[in-house]
Amino acid sequence: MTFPASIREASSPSPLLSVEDLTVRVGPEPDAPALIENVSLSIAPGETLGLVGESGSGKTTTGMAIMRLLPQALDRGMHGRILYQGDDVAAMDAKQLSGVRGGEISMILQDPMASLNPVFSIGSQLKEGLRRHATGEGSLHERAVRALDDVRIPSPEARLANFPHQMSGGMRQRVVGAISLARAPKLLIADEPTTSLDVTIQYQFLELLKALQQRLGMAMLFITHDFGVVARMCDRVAVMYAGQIVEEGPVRDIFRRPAHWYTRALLDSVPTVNSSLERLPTIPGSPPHVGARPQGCRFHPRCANAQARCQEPPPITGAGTGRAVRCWFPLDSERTIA
Amino acid sequence: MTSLPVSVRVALILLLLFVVVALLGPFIAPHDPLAGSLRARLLPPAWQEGGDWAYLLGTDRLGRDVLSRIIAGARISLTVCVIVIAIAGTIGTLIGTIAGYFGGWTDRMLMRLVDLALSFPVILLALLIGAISGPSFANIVIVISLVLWSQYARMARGETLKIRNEDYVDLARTSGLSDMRIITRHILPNIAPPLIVIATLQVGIVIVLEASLSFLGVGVPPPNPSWGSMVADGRSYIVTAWWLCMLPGLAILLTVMSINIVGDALADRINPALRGRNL
Amino acid sequence: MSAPILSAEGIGRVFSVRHHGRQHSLHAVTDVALALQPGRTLGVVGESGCGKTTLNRMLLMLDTPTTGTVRFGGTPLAELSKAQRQEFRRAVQPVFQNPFSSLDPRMWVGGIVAEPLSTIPGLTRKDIDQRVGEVLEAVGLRAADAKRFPSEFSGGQRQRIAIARAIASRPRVLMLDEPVSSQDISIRAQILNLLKDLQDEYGLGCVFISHDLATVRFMAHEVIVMYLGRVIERGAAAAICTAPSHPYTKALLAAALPPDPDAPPPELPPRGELPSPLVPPGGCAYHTRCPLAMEVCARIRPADLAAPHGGSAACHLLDPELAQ
Repeated sequence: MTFPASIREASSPSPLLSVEDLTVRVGPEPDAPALIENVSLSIAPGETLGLVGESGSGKTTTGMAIMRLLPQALDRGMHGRILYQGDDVAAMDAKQLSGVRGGEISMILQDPMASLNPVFSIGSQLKEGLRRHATGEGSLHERAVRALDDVRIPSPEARLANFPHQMSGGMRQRVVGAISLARAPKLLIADEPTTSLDVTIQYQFLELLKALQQRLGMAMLFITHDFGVVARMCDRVAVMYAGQIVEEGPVRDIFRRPAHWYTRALLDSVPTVNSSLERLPTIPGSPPHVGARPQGCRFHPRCANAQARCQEPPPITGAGTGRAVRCWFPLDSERTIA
Repeated sequence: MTSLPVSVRVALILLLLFVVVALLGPFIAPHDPLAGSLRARLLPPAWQEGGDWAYLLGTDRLGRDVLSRIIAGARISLTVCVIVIAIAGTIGTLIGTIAGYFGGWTDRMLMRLVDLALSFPVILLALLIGAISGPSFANIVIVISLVLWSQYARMARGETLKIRNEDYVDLARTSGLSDMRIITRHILPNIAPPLIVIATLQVGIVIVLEASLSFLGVGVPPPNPSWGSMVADGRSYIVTAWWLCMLPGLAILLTVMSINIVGDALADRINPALRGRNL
Repeated sequence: MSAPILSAEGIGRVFSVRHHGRQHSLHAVTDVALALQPGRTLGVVGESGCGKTTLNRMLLMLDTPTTGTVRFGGTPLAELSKAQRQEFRRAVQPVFQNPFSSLDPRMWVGGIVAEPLSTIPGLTRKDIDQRVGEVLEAVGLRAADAKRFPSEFSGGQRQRIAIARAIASRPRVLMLDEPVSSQDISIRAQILNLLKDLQDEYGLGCVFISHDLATVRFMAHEVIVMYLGRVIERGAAAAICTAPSHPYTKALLAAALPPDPDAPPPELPPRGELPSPLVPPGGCAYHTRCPLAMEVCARIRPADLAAPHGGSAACHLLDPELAQ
């Protein structure tokens, strides 16, 4: 079961990235447990698609699969198409991949320390990235300084000699950003890039990312669990639960008229500074493990509206409106935002 | 609990076999390990040309039965191992854990002691002790323990430093547990696996050290056989009579490997984080 | 107002650290005062490096303040008798952020939960087992879970085990250090509700430490906001979390991104990085990042001034003469 192609066409005539029926199993056997199942999504040039979900929902797996960075066993258990500008990334060999990965598609991960090599100066790591992609004017050194300046690192010239451990977490993530963006990628996959940062630093990094996105005209797949970050960063949102996309739509729609019971319940359970609730609405239970996902609608054991029919796989409704939901009994009511 | 991997089973059976042999040594040895027969010098193992089925694994340069000597050696070598590792492990773990847990001044003092132990000239010490009190089993145990405890101390200290910062240690403090109880309840069980690995790795070292010390005349006095001294003695005959050092060497190899396999399995088994997890 | 169970007067903690081969004094916490009433929750808000962890450790008697006094039921911690110390250990229980680090992987859940009971004299094995079963059920687990290992539980269930342990000895104070920030969103609301229920049921005084104003608003009655070891604003939770007076708290509020795509842009967005706590800025510690900083802010450290929300804030802008 997939999200029909008509939705993708409604959002953009020629998507930059279009993932079709992507399934990743833990091994090549057809009955191996699936981490993600029939994930389809598309991103237009310059657009930001948010991929929201809890841990174990498969959002990181999706991002890694698009970059073909999954561990070998998972990569061999991958089926479906990942069309980047019409070319199928899923079918590429190592050489073609390195062309796409380094330049066209870039990635920022959650932990900046893990993305940087502790024994090299940030200057040498930045230059290594720039060297492989001969774009821009000036010497390598000048371009490195400019790249740091672009991510608003003060006194970039002096900072080039620093090692990762000499910088704060926020600075490190900016360096990672500088390395990823120095090659002017067309698509950036950002996997929880601000989760390890303090909130005031997160805010500034998100603003920076937005500004750079506009300047470079780059598209983003923004993977996060934080609805506040989604509201700030994304044009469209896909909500993942237990390996499937359960709902997709424009960001305003998702927040104002969530159609899936999971999305709705999740949004309601987040406290805000303005709400003076005595108790928070909750979702009972916890997300299922990969090997123990329920039949039919994956959410029905935790759903407030579960009915007998939910034991069967739900259809996807809302096709053609740019708005799709995987539910037997989708919601259709306005939600007030506190 | 029922399904042990094949490798662990084989290792366990081998270890059991060595222990039984060591215990029953005098009763099962076909010959007197000390008595040689000059007519039967340097006989190869029975299956080789010129071998004699009376001497299954051949004889050495004095015509002593190699099999009987390996059996007799098992007793000495394994006993030294067990005692040394028990002593060195206890002392080292205790000192390392205390140093790591309390830190500061205590730590600096105890770690100087470890540095001292590491920089100590073992051979000199061994010769000194040997000269003062003559060769004996006790000397060998003391000298090897003095050499090996520092490894446990270092590992125990490093692991303790890691565990000390876990929240559950702070929580134990906020529950009013004494330092001694925190060490026995939380620290020791959590630092045990790497220490067990060290203990298993040291079996080989102990056997070899015991051999060198016996060679220097500090340890078990000749003609009593130990695996180490047999390998040492047979070294010069490696080309002409390979069985003299290869066969006791094989006994050492099998013992060390078996203990390593069992030790690894044990380390996994006592780790409940790995047990009871179903993927 | 009744007498506070736990209070602090002017407490500070200075660490001696080596940095680039030189000895420095790190002022982790400076001059913090607070009082915790039964049945009330005090929110402590701040980002990493603000001193909230050190404050927590001092209130838990895991660390000793270099200045000032922490009092338990009116008695300074340093003067507690042995029996009073034991009572403190029973009555004040922490819940930490990471339920993977706070449960010893080599112990049964039952053993973990029973640990605070092990130092209470006169309890039989049967009493302990019964209490463990009770508290496991109180946090939404089963009594039979005592016979399992922590590794068999999910992150949310582990945090419930940590909470069960914290309430096992019938404490009067819970010290909650970011208890939900490592949890999934659908689990957070469950844990927060559970903590509130337990507080109501047992009349617990809680200290709730968090960087997230929205969660603090939900949990706390009063709030203190910390920056580089000092309290820079205090007041009622609803007021601090919606209409703060200090520019730093305003920046925190702006950074607490609302789950609303149509939220208006914030009044004072955060900027700059946390200065090194080894060489904190003179005057107001926040002046290097403050968009409203005046010349005086770099020179003179502002006193706690009455704020419009009824609490107080350490900011020169609240001084009518300087603000002109």
